[in-house]
Amino acid sequence: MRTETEAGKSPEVIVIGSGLGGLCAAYELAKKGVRVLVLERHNLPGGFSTSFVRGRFEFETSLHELGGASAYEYLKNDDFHLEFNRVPEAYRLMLTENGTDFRAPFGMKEFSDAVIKAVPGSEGPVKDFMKVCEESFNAFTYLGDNSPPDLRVLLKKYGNFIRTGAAVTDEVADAVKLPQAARDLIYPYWCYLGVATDKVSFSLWASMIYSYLNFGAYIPKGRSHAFSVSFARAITEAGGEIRYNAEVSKLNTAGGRVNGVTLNSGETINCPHIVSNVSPHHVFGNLIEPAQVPSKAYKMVNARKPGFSFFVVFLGLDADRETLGLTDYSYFIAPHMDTARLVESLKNRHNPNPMQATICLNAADESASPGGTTILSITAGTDPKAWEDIDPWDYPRAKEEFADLLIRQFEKATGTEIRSHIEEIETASPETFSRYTAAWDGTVYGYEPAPWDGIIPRVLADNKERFFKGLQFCGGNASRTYGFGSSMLSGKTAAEKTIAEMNS
Amino acid sequence: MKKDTLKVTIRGPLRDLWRFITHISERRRVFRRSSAERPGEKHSIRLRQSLHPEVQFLLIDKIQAENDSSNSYTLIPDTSQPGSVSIAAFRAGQYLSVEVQLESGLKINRPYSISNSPEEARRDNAYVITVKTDKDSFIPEVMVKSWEVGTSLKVSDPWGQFYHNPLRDAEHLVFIAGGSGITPFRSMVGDILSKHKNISIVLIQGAAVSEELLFSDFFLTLEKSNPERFKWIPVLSETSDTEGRIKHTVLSGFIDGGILAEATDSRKSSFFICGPQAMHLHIDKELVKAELNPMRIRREDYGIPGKPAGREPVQITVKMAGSTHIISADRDETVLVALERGGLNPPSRCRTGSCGWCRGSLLEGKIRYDKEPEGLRSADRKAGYFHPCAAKPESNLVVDIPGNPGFNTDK
Repeated sequence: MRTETEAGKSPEVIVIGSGLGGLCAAYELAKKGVRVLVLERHNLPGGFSTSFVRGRFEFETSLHELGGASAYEYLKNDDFHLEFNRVPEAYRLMLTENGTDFRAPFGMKEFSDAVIKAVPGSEGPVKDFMKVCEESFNAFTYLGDNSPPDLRVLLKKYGNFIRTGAAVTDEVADAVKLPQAARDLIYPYWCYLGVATDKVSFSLWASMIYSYLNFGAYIPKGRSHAFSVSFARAITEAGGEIRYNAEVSKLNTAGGRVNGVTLNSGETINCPHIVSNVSPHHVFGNLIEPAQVPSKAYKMVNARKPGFSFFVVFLGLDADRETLGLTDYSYFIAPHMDTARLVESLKNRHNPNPMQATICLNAADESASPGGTTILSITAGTDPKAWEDIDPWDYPRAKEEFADLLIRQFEKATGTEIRSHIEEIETASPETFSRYTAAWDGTVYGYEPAPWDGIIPRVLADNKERFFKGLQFCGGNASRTYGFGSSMLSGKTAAEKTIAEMNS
Repeated sequence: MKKDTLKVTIRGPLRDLWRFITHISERRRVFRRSSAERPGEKHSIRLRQSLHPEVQFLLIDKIQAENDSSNSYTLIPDTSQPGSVSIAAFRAGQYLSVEVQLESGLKINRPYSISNSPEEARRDNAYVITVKTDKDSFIPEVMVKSWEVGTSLKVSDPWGQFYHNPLRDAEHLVFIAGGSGITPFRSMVGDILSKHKNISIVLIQGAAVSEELLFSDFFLTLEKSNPERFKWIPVLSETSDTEGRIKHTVLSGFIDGGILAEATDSRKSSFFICGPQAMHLHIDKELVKAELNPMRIRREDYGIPGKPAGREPVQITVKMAGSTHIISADRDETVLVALERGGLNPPSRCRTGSCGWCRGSLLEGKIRYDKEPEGLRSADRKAGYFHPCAAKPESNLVVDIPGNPGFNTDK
């Protein structure tokens, strides 16, 4: 056997973590001829963006739908060869306490009309509310294209955005006198941000629902694992390198700048530029020598609240969806739409009536599983704290109980019978997410976007909150906040900033 | 629509503007007020570390000969290793991947089902694995020769999906074991009977001769104490139990459709089958013959067959953790075995194509699968990723294989 080591080729940039943010950063760097090395602790790329196989089913791990034009357009990139299916409708909402059963179509006008029809007399407030959402989206587009922005243009053209920019969603709903019955129908997407409407930055929330409703949503063939594989292939084809099973245990710094990493295996790799897809919590809390970390960095990290986590039941069913009566792609099922109370209920693992977001993959992609079968995945928010007291030997039973509860809730709300059709079942809890992605405390969403930690404050403060030269962050905890598109495109930003720093 | 005239205010236009400007400095105020302590993970990390340690350091505490060809090894935490206090919890039916060091210094991982139940394992803070010396496989031979009480082993966290789930499986279970495929059932039967009072189990245990009916005393006792819910059917293929070693009815021949039909309850049944690949094929045929259509069949496959047949060898160029190696391989062995023989200690777990732990990238050349690996993701297949444990080389190859976490260092 002969062994050769690639000598003298130290990387110009190291990317820690191959979540979509890290992959996108590495791809953008490699494309511009930068020698980039991606270090991933797991044996797969993608972080949350992947899939797994049980029997004859391949399950999506996390993506419900890819909303918004910018991420979709980016992924239609010629290097990637991705195929998409369009999601047929926005959602079907079922509120069990008042019997609401509402099908929300895509399209701003179609959606508004459906809400107005369901809630007589709500026309004025609904139209106003949706209009402010649209303005927020347009203002973000303007801010993205004009740096620094012209304050006069902002005030003149995006006055509503400025006046609502520091508000939470409920305040804007109050200001336009949106009736409660209409809020019930418009709010369900709150769970894509995971912060109650009395706490979440309105501008971010508004921009999110506008981009879903106006543009629609897509899912990729081959699950979101196809995104990760496409990036990984494109990175290596452009001359970059990805190492799997390579966990970074130390991020080395000296004199206020980064100079490399040390792997779990003991190997040290020197490098003056690092893009971290790993959270600031992990970087400042675990990876950098405590004596090197300024107390301001700890304060910044501690001030922010990691978002919540999920419990997911993945079901492979042995009948087609027509037989099962699964008519819709996306089901939101909840007792009510009081988001603050729904968030409060996440602390209780035994709550018999949580909110669930359930996807029937075959309703958007008939070929998602073999003929005569269906894939259904049920997701409920959960607070990682609700899982910390579990005895490891009792953990399988705890997962079975939660899964049982969610299946029962789904069957009852939809009037379907799926239990006897379960051919494959798998569950994921905060522990599962922690295990596969090492996300802080098993959380799935990044730092909660309270108004002071929304996109605008993050972008404006970004340069002041870096603490180490040569270090950029990307992914769900970075400036664009979380979600597939945001995490990914934050990697593009991190790559651009890194290149600027390399050239300065 | 009031297109251009809409003017939404929250607290009044000027106060809203002021608030917009100050919500950015609010960020600095929040930071100033917060703690300057180093943050630490609290919630999911403890459970994750206890369920899925990167590697478990275990000691052989006891060796028990089950018969001439099989030993049971009791493995306890090696407390001389930092953090090694308790064994990781598991589900009955799961396996451990054990690192075996050969005389040549080569290190190889092999999966072994845990044969004691979670309850026993928790009580004793010990796993039991039962290893059969197979003339066709040189690994167990090494283990039998070199493993003694006090030998220290590197072992994975518990793995595998061969376990019972009450949300999925029928209330009547049919377990079919061939040879050493009985080991996970030794763990499962007691566990399921004690946890689920509504479930009944028939265990069909196939072996060549009566000495090879592992755990026969255990199953006999369990059947006596659960006559309504547990039935044990031993089946011998080579000889019948003429000397009456087993105090039980013993069938002779192969496990056939008649036996399967009798084991299947009129209610729906879930089948669990564990054994060598040839047995799975045989049972499939018998199920068809008996016109049985079980509600569910779950399988645990014991290894991909493949022996060097002396055909012209191929060359595999292996990129691994920043280095490049060139090894020689036989066309009838799996790429994984070739990598192991090449001394590269590649990652592996299930060794049957399903878990994906060995996933690598095929950069050049052609591979074949005798049976399409179950766990291969569709996007991986399309983009040229493969599972070396199930793939055999058809030509010279260039492959990219990840390093072996937890096992590739001497820490």
